[in-house]
Amino acid sequence: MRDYTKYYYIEVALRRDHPAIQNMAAEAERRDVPLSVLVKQACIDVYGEDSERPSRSPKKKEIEVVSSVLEQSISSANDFLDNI
Amino acid sequence: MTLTLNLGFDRGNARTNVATIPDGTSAFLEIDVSSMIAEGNMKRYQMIQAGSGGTDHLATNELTVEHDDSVYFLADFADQGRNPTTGFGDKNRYHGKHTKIALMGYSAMMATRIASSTREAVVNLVMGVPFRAYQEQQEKIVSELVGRYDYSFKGRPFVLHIDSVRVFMEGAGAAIYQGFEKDATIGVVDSGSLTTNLLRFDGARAHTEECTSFEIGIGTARDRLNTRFEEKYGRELNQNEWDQILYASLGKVPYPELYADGESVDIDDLRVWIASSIAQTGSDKNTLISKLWSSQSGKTASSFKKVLHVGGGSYYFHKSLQQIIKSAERPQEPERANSRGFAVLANQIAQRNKVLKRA
Repeated sequence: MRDYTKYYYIEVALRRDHPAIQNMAAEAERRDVPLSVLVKQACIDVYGEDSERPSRSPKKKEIEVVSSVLEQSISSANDFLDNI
Repeated sequence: MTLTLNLGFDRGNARTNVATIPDGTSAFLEIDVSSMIAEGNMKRYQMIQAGSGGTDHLATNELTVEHDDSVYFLADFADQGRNPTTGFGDKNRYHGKHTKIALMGYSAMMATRIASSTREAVVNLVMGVPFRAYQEQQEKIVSELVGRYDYSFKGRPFVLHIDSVRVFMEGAGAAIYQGFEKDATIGVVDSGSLTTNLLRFDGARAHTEECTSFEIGIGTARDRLNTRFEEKYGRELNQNEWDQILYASLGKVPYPELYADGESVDIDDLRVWIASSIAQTGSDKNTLISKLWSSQSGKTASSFKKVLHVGGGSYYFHKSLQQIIKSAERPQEPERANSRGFAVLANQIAQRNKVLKRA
């Protein structure tokens, strides 16, 4: 499982005013556990055990090579250009 | 080394999709990212770069553009910047700074993915805009975006030449990608976060009298949900919370644990409210779709061979669309259909231009 705790430390360091982080920090103090433990569990809860780095679309890579261009798409593009 | 990219560009209000077909391949290279862009904090940015703050270095997929003495954080990295925005609701968003920064960043990202040592690219751009913007802003978009851009991408200098820009209606890319029907009519419903675009094609020709766009989308559902949330819990939802609730409504992730004044938010509230917000918004869309495409019998798009439902909003509104158009189809990865079609179109335009130059 990828360790994304470090990433969240950056987020914590930069956004201590974020309500979710403040709530988590208060909970960590109440339970007497490190904040990183709750952050990591929150990541797993939301993004799953095998997720990539946290993002709004956790399962999507930002850049990737995908399926082949369809022949019909090329034909449609030419038809479209012929009609404008 | 200068790379030429024929780019399909779909700049949505929530997500940006970019596609190209690298020379010598028959596969798409694609970018699918949040449309957020934020102002970067220069001091903190340099501190992180220098490593002197005791925090980690920027990860390789944290996207930054430095241009005109300003730093911009793109996509998910915009969370770390100030005033993150997608340009939502800005009428000039298709030719303003936000779009230019996105083009700088994602062109460089594409180019360096294809050839890592590239520091200069020439782009032939095909982009889609809502139908109304297509009618009113085409020339402005072209004149604003064509040109040379000098900047740094992830700390390395880059030069971008946008040599040509062609603007088409959103939804046209999807129709091209999925294919026209030679002797039949198809419709395209492109559901976005701000706008819904309706296009009718007879063969490969747009029937412009039955094409339009209107400002109802996932953002409308968000506003409805936000109103109910604020009424009960006394605060607004932020963008992150909204995104999580939206994905949760599809069953992709659990509903988030939210708090208001230290009290936990009832997850059943979120579940019920998002469902009714989407249903109400879908119904509003259907009213306008029916108004444009209904026949004397009262049926909607009944003479069309098919209606394609594309855009990221189609994940949420497809069931409601099928209430008025039973045959509506949602292709695989509907949010990528436009940029893929525009990439194919960009390639064909470039090939035709080569032939013309030789002649």
